Parts: sequence; C-alpha cells; structure tokens
Amino acid sequence: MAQVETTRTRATVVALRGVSKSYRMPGGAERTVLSDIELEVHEGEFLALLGPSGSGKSTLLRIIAGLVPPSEGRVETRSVPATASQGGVAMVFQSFALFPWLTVLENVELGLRARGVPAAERRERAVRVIDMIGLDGFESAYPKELSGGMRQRVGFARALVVEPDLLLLDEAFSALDVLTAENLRRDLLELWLERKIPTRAIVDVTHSIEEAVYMADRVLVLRGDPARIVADVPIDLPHWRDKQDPAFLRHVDGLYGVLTRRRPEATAGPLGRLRAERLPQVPAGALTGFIELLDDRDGPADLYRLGEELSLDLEDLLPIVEAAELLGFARVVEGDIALTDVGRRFAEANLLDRKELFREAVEEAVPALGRILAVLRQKSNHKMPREFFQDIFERQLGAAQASRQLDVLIDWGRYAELLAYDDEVRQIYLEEEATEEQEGEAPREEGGTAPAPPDAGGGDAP
Amino acid sequence: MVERRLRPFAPPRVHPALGVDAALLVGVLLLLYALVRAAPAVAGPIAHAPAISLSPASLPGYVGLSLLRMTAAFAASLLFSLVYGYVAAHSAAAERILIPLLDILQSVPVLGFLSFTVTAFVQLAPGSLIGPQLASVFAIFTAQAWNMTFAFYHSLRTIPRDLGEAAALYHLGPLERLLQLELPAAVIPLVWNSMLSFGASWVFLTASEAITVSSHTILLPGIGSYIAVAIARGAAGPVMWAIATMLAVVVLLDQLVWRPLVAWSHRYQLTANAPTGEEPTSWALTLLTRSALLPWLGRHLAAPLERLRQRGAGGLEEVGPLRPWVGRVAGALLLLAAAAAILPALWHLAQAMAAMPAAVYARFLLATAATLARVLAAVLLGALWCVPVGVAIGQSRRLTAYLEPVVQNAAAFPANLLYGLAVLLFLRLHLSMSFGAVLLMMLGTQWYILFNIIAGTQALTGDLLEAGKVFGLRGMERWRSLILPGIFPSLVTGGLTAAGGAWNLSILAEAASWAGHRLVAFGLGSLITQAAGSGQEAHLFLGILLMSATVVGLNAVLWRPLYRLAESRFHIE
Repeated sequence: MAQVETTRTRATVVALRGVSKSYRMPGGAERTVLSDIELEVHEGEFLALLGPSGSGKSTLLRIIAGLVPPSEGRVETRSVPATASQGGVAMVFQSFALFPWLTVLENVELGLRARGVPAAERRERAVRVIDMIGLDGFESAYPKELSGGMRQRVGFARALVVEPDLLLLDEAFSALDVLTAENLRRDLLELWLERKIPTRAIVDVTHSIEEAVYMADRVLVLRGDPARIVADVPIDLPHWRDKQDPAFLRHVDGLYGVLTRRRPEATAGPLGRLRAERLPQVPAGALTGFIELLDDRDGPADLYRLGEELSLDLEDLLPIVEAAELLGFARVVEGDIALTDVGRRFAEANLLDRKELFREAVEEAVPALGRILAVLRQKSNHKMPREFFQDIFERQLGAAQASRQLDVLIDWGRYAELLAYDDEVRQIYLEEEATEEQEGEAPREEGGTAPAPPDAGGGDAP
Repeated sequence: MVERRLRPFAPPRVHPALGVDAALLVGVLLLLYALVRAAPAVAGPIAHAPAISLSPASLPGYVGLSLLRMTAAFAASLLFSLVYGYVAAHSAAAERILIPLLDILQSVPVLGFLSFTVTAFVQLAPGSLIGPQLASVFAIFTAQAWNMTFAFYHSLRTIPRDLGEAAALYHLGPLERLLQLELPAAVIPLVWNSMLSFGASWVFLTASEAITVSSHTILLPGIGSYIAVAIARGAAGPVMWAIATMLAVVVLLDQLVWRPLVAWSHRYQLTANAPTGEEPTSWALTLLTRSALLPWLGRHLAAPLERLRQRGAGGLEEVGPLRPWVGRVAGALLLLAAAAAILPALWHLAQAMAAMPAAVYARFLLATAATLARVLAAVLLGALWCVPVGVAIGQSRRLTAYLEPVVQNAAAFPANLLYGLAVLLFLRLHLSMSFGAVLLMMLGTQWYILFNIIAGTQALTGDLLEAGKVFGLRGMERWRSLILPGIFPSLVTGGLTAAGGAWNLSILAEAASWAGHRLVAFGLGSLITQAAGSGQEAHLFLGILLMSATVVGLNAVLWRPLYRLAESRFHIE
C-alpha cells in the first residue's frame, strides 16, 4: 500500500462486534452460519475476506452492508471527519445485478435518483463516473448489449457514483474471464491507490487467494461451521505487486495452508446418533481422478500451482483436497499436498481393491454413512426411503444442504458398494454383496472376493 | 467535453411517417365517436333497451360495445392483479390467506354464477342496464384476473435476489422500487398472461351478454347478444356474419395490440433467465416507432410526471414501510366484513340445500360423473390429434412460424359462437348431445393442448432429436423413447389448461340450441344452466359447489401428480 498512515491510529469505517448469524431451519432447529465475528475496517484499508464456498463470507458482507441483520452482536459505523464522500455503502455484485430495462446511464443514475439529486446534477455526475471507469460512448446502451467485463464496469460505476464511504465487492471479478478480470482489478486498484475516488475503505469478498494477495492490505480467512475468522494476515508488500515475487508466493502458499488445514471439529460428534456432517461435495469419481493425478507426480505438489495447472478455482479444488484428507488419502502441509501410504496404495490398486480401500476409508472417516447402514440393516427388507434420512438431515442442515449431503453419502456409499439407491422410487438399500461381507465381518481381507466384473479390467490402471 | 455528452442521448432517429400519425389520429377520433354513440346503450333503462338488430351493418357498433366491456373488465383485472399481487407478495400474513383463496377462486366455474351476479348487480341499480352491464364486466373480470394476479405475484416473488439487494442498497423507496424494479420485472409475464386471459374471456363476454334470469332474458347490445338472437331465430346468415366479425376482431387485436405489446415487452427481459430465442417482432410496433406524435406526447407528459414522481417518492420515503400490525388489523377487518356479507347468504342456502330430497343429490352426483367423463374425453380426444399434429408442426421452424399464431388466435376465438351451427349439424346427423357436448368442449379447449405441444417440441429439437437420428431411432421406438417423454411436461400443462376450460364450457356445451330446437345432454353443466334459468338457487349452488370441488379434487389426484412426474422424470435441462 502506497500511503499507509502508520504513525497515527486510523479511524474505523465500520466495525463488527461479536456478530453471529443463525437461520431457523424448517424443522425448527437453528443453524449458525457465522459465529462471534470481530472485525474492523480502517480508513484507507483494502480488506479481503477469503474463504471456501458456503463459508458465510457473502452473508458477512451483507451484514456489513446492512442488508441482513445480525442475530447477535452489532455493526458500528463510526462517523469520521467529513470529506468529499457522500457517505454510505455501495456494493458490486458477482452477477452484476444491473437492471436490464435501464440503459447504462440510467443504471448509474439509479443510486443518485433515490437520494433526490436533481436531474441535471445526476446526469453530470453519472457521466463523469462513466468516463472515469472507461464506459465512454456506451451511455445509451442496454446491459444485454455489453460484454461481461463492460457490464461489471457499469456495476462499478453505479457503486462509485454515490461516492460511498465503504465499497463492498461480492466476488465482483469471479464471473469474468481471466484477462477481463485482471484488467478490471488493475483499473480499480489504480483508482483506489491514486485516490481518484473518495471511497475510504474497500472490502473484497473473494475465493481467489491470488486476487486477495494482489490487491488487499489485509486478508481475513473465514472457515468452519459455523464460520469464524481463523486468520488475519497483513500483506505488507508495496504496490504494484509482482505475482512471481517470492514474497508474493510465500503469502499465497501461507494462505493455502490456512485454508486447507484440517478442521478439528470435523471429528467431533456424539456416537450412536445419526448426525449430519458437512462432507465436501465431491463425487467419488472426481476424487479417484485427483488421487491418480497426485500419484503421477513425484513428491508433494504445491496447491496453488496445482490449481493453476488444472485451471481449477479454489472453489473447486478445496473440496477435493478436503475429501482426500478426510478419507486419509492425502495430507496437506503448508500449502503442499502429498499422498499418504494408503493414498498411494489406492492409486496403484485395481478397481476391486480400490473399492475395498475406499470402503475402509469411508467407514473410518464418515460415521454418518455407518449410521445409515445400521438403520438399513435393522430393517427386514434392508430398504429405507431417502426422505427418512433427508428429514433427519434437514433439521440440522436445511433442505438444500441436506439433499446435497445425502447425494454425496449415496455416491460414496455406491462407490464403496456399501449401499445402492434407486432414484426412481427414491429408496436407499443395502448392496447385497456388501451385506454378506458385512455379516461375515471380513473387510480386512484384500484381493478379489468376488469374480471381477467385465468392466474391471484395464483402463483404470494408473 | 461534458457538454458534448449532455444532450445527445435520444434514440437513433427514424424517418417520421405522416401516415402513421394520421392513422393514429383517425383511430382515436373513431374511438371517441363510438363511445359517444354507445353511451345510451350502456346506461339506459332496461325497459327501453333497444332491440337487437340483425343487420350486418350494426355489427361494428355491437363489436365496439363488446370491446368496451372487455376493456373495462381488463382495466379492472389489471388493477386488481397489481394490488392483490403486491399485497400478497409483501405481507407474509396476507399471503397465507390471499394465495390459497386465489387458488379456490380459480376453480370456481364463473359461468354458472352469472345469474347470481346479474341479480346482485341489478339490485345495485334497479331498472337500469347498468346492473347487467356490470354483471357482464364482472364475469369477464373473473375470467381474466386470477391468472394475471398469479403472474404478477409470482414475478414479484422471483425477482433475482441481488437486484432486490441493489435496490435496497441504493435506498429506493417503495414507490421507486415498484416503478424501477418490480413493475419492469413483471412486464413480460403480465403481458403474456394478459394476452391469454383476454383471449379466454371472450367466451364469458358472449355468454354474459344474453343471459336468462328466472325465465327472463336480458340482452345487452353486443356481439354475444347479436348471435344469441340470430340463433334463437335460426338466422344462419347473421350467425355467419357474427362469426366472421369475431374472427376479424381476434386477429386484429392480435396484430394491433398483443403482438406489439409482446415485442415491446421484450426489453424487460431479465437477462439471467433469458431463453435463447429470436426476439419477437411486430410490424405495428415498428410502424409506431415512426410516429412523430408519440415522442412529442411523451416529452410533454413525461416531465410533469417525473416531477410528480419525485415528490411522491420523497413523500412515501418519509412515511416508510407500513407497520406489520396495520396490515394485520386491516386484514382482520376485511375478513370480518366479508364474513358478515357472505355468511347470512350461505346460511340461507345451506338451509335450502338441507331441505332438498336425497334424489336431487343423487341426480347431481350422477351428473357430475357424466360431465367428468366428458371433460376427460374432450382432453383425451384433443390430445389424440394434437400430439401428432403438434409434433409435426413443432419440428419445422417454418411451419411453427406460420401456424403458432393461427393456433393462438384459434384459442382466443370464443367457441360458443359456433355452438348454434354445431347444433344444426347434430340435428341433421342425428348425433346424440351426450357425445356432441364432448365435441363442443373440444372446439374451445383443444387449442391449448396443440400450442403447448408445439412449444414442447420446439424445446426438444436440436441435440436430442439429432441424437435420436444418430442412434437410428425410428417409428414407434422414436416416439416411445424420445418424443413422448420429451413432450410429456407440455402435454400435462396443455391438458390441465384444456380441462379447466372444458369444465367452464360444459355449462354452455351441455345445453345448446338452434331456433326452436334445444339439445340437452345430462350432466352437471346442463343442470346448472337449468337451475339458473328457472331461479332454483339451492340447485344452482349445489351444482357450482360440486363442480368447484371436482375441479379442485381432480387437480389434487390427477394433475398435480402428473406435474410432479413430469418435473422429476421428464424434465429437460
């Protein structure tokens, strides 16, 4: 950051004190998505909020914006000495959120219109911002005539024209292609660093570690269920930052480490009750592919580079990494991922042995699956409607999440040949062969216990 | 530099065409003239109501009067749907009552109610034509309003979350929010549903212009009463004239009103859920953009309106949103008032119904079964020819472009205008009305199946059809594994709409006449017609109750499960 005022204590633009957010589930239970958030955004600060999807970072941003009231705690917007700024909050949305029936100019004027700015001044200010953001000549175009990048420029113009104290970015760059996003990031950074806009602070919600390290003065990492702030990392590199700079890469790796650290609360949970867990939503097939891929590389792989090579977003990569760790196939240390012994054996095994290893891993690591199997075994026909489990999960997770979790459990259970599922009648039942094995209690036995199915041959070998 | 850009935001100029403005002016003048001429026929006393003239020359005047009723009803429907939908979408308490209520209202066969409402409205203005006029407008209103209300309510509820958040962040007050976000977002569904509802309500107009209450026939001058008189006299010529005129009206409205509206509404498409299709076009709209008069009017009307709006927005902002208890108290009062008005009448009816002998109930139940069988037969027979024809049309872009508007216009054409001629035909062929009534219902409802199938087939084309070709699917196999599952959801939608229409039409179709001959089929519809004609209120009420209950029941046991099946099994992403 160019002009950090380190000498005097900086004013706070907005502060969150002990903020939590819970939602009431249809079953009546409460689900807490954010817990005990303490956070201050200082004058002149570019803050990035980083976290995996579903970590509540967008909810947090909406609490800051005043769109969503916190369940506990409070949001303080302390008034700072008046400047050119008009005050208030503005937001740039991932989906742009432009009004399709308004022209570029009308969209930009929207925020001023509600503030009762006279028509002539409105137009003049809107035109000035449109100029500044590089939309000159597009005033009378409709959003649908513009490319994604230009649309988001309208989003920025609409936010900046009200001269907000606080500018909020909700994944503002993630719907754009790589080059366009980079271009827009630089333009925003230039406006910000050269003080061309009276904005006092920016909060950028993102799932791109690189974006956070490139732009922000400070990165907060949100993780867990409910989400808390697990890290507060100042990025003290001068602008403009070089992405190949070792110091830059150290920050990126460090944040990868924080994001992939094994969560302690995942193992907790009362035994004997069917408890919904939050499994990463990764189909067994994708996981298998990922492990084979790791096996092909010698030694640990840098997650940041791996993501780039596979052109996988953090959003997509993190769940896979998490699943591999959960099942004990891989371990992450400081942003590097490596296969465990089991993982290596899994990668090199044939299809049947793989299923065996997978079965052991899920039985060990996913108690919920074990409980489902126990319920099925108790039934004389070894069947249960999906709705039964859906109901139980829903009370803890909400309908959409419960359904996704069940999908993952069923997928993993199917791959492990522990259970089968008929989508047409929505029945989950025990896999017959699996049942016999379970009753024989011989899961340790390795090597084909059943004749290989015709498709078990080549192709899958690493 | 700024100045350079401050002015020229006007849309690109097109050559103004004087002819367009001249046509507009002539149209407006004609409309005013017709209104002045029509006044006595609208509000005069019943006793001096002019007799219906069967001269074709008087048809345009009658059409004008009918259109006036339609327009009045449409204005009322629009206002109703905006207010009702807005309240239901913005108050959770109101929503819990209003939406189920709307669902029930939708299932009531309003045609059966006509004699009730006419009696009620005549009491409002005894001896004057105003009563029957209002009753007719009300009947049309009930055919239009529910659909439009659902459409508006639904689009308010499905406004993309971040657009709503943007509006909140930029402090749009309730009025600004309505004008900038909620109304624009609802334009497309409102226009579409207006068009469909308007078309569907022609039947109600024509049926409500000639209505028999307690063996006394009231004729409201209009195209419906014209054809009623012509049928009663057995005058085939005027009947043909009326049918041709009606056809022309439907087509002209389509070309001059609805197509332009649909094309205009396209700009309000929410890009997020835009279907990839061609933009609708309308020659009339293209012509209108060449008018010089309209922009002039726009400029001179817009500025004051804008000032008014600014003031209004400021005022509303200060008031702020309504406190929740205000809504609750208002709702409770409204419910109480409604109960006070309805309960005594219901009590009276219940007593009369309790006094009815069991044989009457048995007859009504049997009649319900008969009509149910006819409705289902009408839908099945309709599907039988519409599926192959619709699939054939839908697979060809060219055929679709030509025939889709034709089918839509056919659906808007009030089938009951043809009933007189059909009776004549049935008499010649010695066809039993028990079966003939099915054909009469089909006449009005099969089009809904046909255009849904066409739309469904269009959605199928592309990858799926090509895949079918690659895998060499042919003949029966192709139908069984590709086409039928693919169009199933559209078939269900079409069937549901057709069945709804058929129930309403049964009231007209089960008892139709030509000159002195009256053909009656035993069924709920004819029982309702008879009860209404002879003023047996308890019978009428029982009939309507049975029909509403059957419609609601059929929705629950047949259509909803089919919908679920369509969504879970046959949904195409």
